[in-house]
Amino acid sequence: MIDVRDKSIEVTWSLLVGAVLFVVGITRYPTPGRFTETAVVALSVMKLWLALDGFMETGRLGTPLRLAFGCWLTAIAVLLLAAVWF
Amino acid sequence: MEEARTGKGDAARVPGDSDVWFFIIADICGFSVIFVLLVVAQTRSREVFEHAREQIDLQLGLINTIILLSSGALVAKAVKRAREGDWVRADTHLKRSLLVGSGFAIIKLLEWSTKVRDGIGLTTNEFFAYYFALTGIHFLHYLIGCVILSLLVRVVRSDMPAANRVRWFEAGAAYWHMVDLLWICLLALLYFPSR
Repeated sequence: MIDVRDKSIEVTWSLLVGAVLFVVGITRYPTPGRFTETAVVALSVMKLWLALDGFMETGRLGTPLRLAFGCWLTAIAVLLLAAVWF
Repeated sequence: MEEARTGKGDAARVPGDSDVWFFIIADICGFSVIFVLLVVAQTRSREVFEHAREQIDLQLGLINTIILLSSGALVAKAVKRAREGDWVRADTHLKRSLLVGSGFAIIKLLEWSTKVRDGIGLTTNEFFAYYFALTGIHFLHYLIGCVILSLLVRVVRSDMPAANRVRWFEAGAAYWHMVDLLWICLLALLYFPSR
């Protein structure tokens, strides 16, 4: 039974699992260009952000740590895009 | 219920301990350096990487992702209950998280054993060197996370002040979520086929 106090955690978990299942769906069908790879990168970055914000509560951290996580997330996004395009 | 707040203003407080967060940042930066090396290696020998990725079981990787995310959600719930002083439910969520998380080890060992049976190892090619090294180091982090969660089960029953127990919970949970984060990166870099 879902506890109403856990609604935000349940929503984060649902979005994360939804993103995983969507990725399964799009990788099964051929798509033009590099749509699939770009979508996988976008969803991976979304999952990272959801896990950071919803589970790790990085919003509660001080500015230096928030900045460090923000820079890391941006660097990972750039790296994943580089992996797809080069 | 036992009051579990620290008194410093819950919203403004760093969850767990600052040292844990610096460790997490340092650890994910260490992993990120290997991610960069992997991407650089991929640009040099794209065909080898593309062919090798076809031999990786994406379904197992996705199942493991859902397992880790579900385990992470249960740990987040345990932390929430601990902050409210509801230690019985915190303990229940923690044990469920360990139980769900144990599925990751079963699937990972199954995946590795299948690869080894197929004659694929650390020295097969550059991709599999990264695959075994990265998933191996990640698995070590996962095992440490399991030990930490097991220690938290003991923390629930300890006689230390509630505020300290909450800090232990938050620090342990932050580490466990880092294991999720790194896995999401590994999934994107190692498991998805290139076209």
